[in-house]
Amino acid sequence: MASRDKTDPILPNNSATPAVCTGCGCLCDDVTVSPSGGSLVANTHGCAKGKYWLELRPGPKVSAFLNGRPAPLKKAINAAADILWKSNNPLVFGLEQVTCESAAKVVAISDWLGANLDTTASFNQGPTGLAFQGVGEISCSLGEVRNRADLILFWGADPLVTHPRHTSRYSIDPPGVHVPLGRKNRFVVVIDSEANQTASQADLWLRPKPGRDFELIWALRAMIQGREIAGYDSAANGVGLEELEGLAHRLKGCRFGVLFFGDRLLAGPGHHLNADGAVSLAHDINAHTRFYARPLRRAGNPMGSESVTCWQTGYPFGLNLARGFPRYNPGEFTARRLINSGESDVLLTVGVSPGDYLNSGNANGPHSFQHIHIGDGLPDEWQSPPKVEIRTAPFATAASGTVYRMDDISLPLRPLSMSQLPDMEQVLTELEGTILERMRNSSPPTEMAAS
Amino acid sequence: MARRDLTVLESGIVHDPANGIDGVVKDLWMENGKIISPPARLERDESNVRRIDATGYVVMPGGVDIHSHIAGPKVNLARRMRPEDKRQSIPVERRVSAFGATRSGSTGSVPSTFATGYLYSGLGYTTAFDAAIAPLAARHAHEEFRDTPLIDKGFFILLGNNHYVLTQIAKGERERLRAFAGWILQAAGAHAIKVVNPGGVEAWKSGMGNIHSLDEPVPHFGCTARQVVTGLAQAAMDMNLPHPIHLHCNNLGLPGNFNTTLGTMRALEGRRAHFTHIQFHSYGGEALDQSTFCSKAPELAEWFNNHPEITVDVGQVMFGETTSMTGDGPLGYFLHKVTGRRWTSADTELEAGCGIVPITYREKKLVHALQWAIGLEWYLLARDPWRIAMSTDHPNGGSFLAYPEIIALLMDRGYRNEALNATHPGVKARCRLADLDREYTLNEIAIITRAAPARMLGLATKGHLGPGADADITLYQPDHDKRRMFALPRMVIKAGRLVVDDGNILSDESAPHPTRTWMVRPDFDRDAVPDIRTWFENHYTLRFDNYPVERERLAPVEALAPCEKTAR
Repeated sequence: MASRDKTDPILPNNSATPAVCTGCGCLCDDVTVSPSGGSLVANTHGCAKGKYWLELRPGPKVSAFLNGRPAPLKKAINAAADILWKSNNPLVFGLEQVTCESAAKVVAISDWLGANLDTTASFNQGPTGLAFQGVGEISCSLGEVRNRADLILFWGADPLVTHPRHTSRYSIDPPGVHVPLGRKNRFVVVIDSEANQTASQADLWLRPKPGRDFELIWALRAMIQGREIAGYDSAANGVGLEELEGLAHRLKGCRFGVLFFGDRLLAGPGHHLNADGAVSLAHDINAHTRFYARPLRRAGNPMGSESVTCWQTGYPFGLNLARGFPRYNPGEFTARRLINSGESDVLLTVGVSPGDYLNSGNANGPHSFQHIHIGDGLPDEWQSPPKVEIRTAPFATAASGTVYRMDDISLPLRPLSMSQLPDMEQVLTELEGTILERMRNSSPPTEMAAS
Repeated sequence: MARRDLTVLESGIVHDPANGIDGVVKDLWMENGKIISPPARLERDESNVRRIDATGYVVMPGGVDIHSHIAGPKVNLARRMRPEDKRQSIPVERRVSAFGATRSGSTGSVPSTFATGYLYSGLGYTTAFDAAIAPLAARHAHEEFRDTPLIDKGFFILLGNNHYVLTQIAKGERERLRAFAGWILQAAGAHAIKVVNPGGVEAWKSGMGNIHSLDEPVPHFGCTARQVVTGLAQAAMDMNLPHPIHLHCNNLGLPGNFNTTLGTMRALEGRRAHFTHIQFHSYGGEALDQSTFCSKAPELAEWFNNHPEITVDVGQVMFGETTSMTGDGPLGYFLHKVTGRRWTSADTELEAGCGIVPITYREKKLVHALQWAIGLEWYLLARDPWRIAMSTDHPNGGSFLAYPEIIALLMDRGYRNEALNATHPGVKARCRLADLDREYTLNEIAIITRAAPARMLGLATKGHLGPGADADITLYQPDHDKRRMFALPRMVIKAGRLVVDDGNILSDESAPHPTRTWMVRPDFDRDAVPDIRTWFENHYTLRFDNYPVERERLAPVEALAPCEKTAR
């Protein structure tokens, strides 16, 4: 496997250079990194997650592999183009650790191929996407929260664990224009059935029974709308009606409130109703005061790649381009089903660790597919070597381009280190060019006339 | 002598109102993407002159849309919110052949980026400006522009509810306001200053409702909407911006709002300003009694006709399904309450708000039919076509694809009256449309769809076909059916290259056609920057240095609009 190779920092000596940390959806841009003994030392203001993310690790020296064996890059790109071009029903999946520029290339490749295109949103934030299509979205940038919010509600979320600086930088602690005393001006609520570190900083922690979030949301909606509630089962739901009434009163009475929901509110089948409920609750509260609802998003650039996919095709994930134009149908064109059903004969993963989402066993199982991977090296757990693997410069420290914070604010990502591995955007540009060349040289003019 | 790469468009019937040419048969010469004077015979190497026969075709400059929503987070949220709108619409198919490749896309009221470029181009438009971008979203807008082919673009930045702006206006700091406006226009790569519901969006974000009159103080700031519009209008004039403030007045859509609009016009008297989607601001009646709703376009048009310093675009409402999207946050909530439909809101720290709601305009509904009629009244009552631009406020009043229909309504009185008769019977008593028998000429259409908007935007090389102009040209097949004529141009030429031929988009992804993004670089007092930086770092959640859009993010070629006094 890969030999150890030193990746060199490209920063000027001894200077603390500002960086954007993509280690979680917060995308803190107030961190700095300095070179030290051939590596990077990051000052992340106490965030261990960020420090680990920005570390320089010995990377693989070889960038391209064919059937698990090292190969020249150009050969690997040609092989990938051939496999993709000949595929009957390719699936393109991933787009977590990619810049918007690379994501744009991936959407272009999917378009030319007539592929299925899905992002990791279909595994975690899919319910949010569906809720937004059902009822809308009521959001604000994180600076609005910092400057105005006097009520913060985390539901199914534990930012101290998943987004370590969210509370200190944006939500609980920082003083803002209309909350000059920071934490003292805010009321903080956590609703989570599981153990929750953020709850230690909260003024109120409600612990519903697992799977009972929807009942709480719906009861709160009824209270906010001033409706009678019948048949609410306090014991089964784990939170009493009086407690809930107290919260409803606070939600209506705040000046500016925001509900941040996490993956735990969205886990399990049918739980897009929870996301739907969270947004609808925010809508209802707006009859009384300003209130917002936002999901907490994961590391990398999932917001950005969804945004790019949406502006280029009209849809954020779960789409199919086989008919020559984008069609959208989550569930049908999303990765899990296409892989499990064996409908896709080729899988192209870009900027994602596929083992986090897909079952690698299928590669050799009854539903076999040819796998092409572009991005950071695959982890050992992903057993079967891909047909083609192209390792690109590490996203965290060497990528250059645009990335989006969890609140849709874009930030420039600049490289902090020099990698011997190729730049992902360049690899994708070459792959796109090669595929187009194949298509052009083979498509008879009659095909265009017929379509 | 070096060989020249010349193209000549021969014997077309040219409508070039900016140069006083009204339907004259003549040749147009092009070189390097520009219109040139006919070269001397000796200079023409006949073997190298590309000839396009335009005999019998109407030739106009490429269309210019002064006010449209085509890029940025608001537009993209609308795409994301409405899959059903796209599913019911004919998509744009991808094409790959030996000759070129074009991308696929979805359409509906909010088309995807590639589709937007192709559809505009297919309609004979070669330039479009996005009307409302929060400066913090500028990078996003530029990214979408990069993926919007075949048209030149630009955008206006929202400053009417910006905290720094409100603070300087409240303190009477005129110089500092101007410095900030100059700095932020450059940081964002923008073309002009947009004002949306001055002070009202900030009031809404503060949980204090809205601003309903020009002299109500903005909560927490104390300045008034009157001070905001006059202050920013003056700043734009002091900087000699090519386009004055682009103004969306307070109280959009509310019965009786013409008083606010007229009051704003009076407040600005003597200062240049562009009143956008004026149709939505021309209503009479009592705020709480819909039965009193009526047109006040005649009253406003009278002021407009007597005040050459102001320009308007119409914001025509067309019947059918569309998406309302606005930087006017409280308006979004109002529409959500009125229609009971989905609502998306997205507020930007220290800068702006946003509201998105699906909407269906119905011809048998009195309010909608009257909105449609008021838009047409504006076109017909405005005496000087050089100061009124065609717009639907895409997609708010309807899609830009409705322009051919609007042209037919303006050019054909009989067709217009038929359409009027098909609407709600209460309309005729509440507006003067039935009495207006003006019909637009082809030359007047050329003015309100290209020459006038280009002039209003200060784009010296757009909207005309004189030497030095960009070779953006549209050829139409003359037709008594004006909808057909304008919906399907015979050819569209962009910067000297044929890009649409009989409805076919000729774009090659391997050599994408260079389009440009227009922006201004006004002079400003750089000594003001440290104060802006301090304020910024105290209030925003990102670093000051990450705020300005990096030059390499901009479209392949950027175009600088002049900031100097130009003859009007």
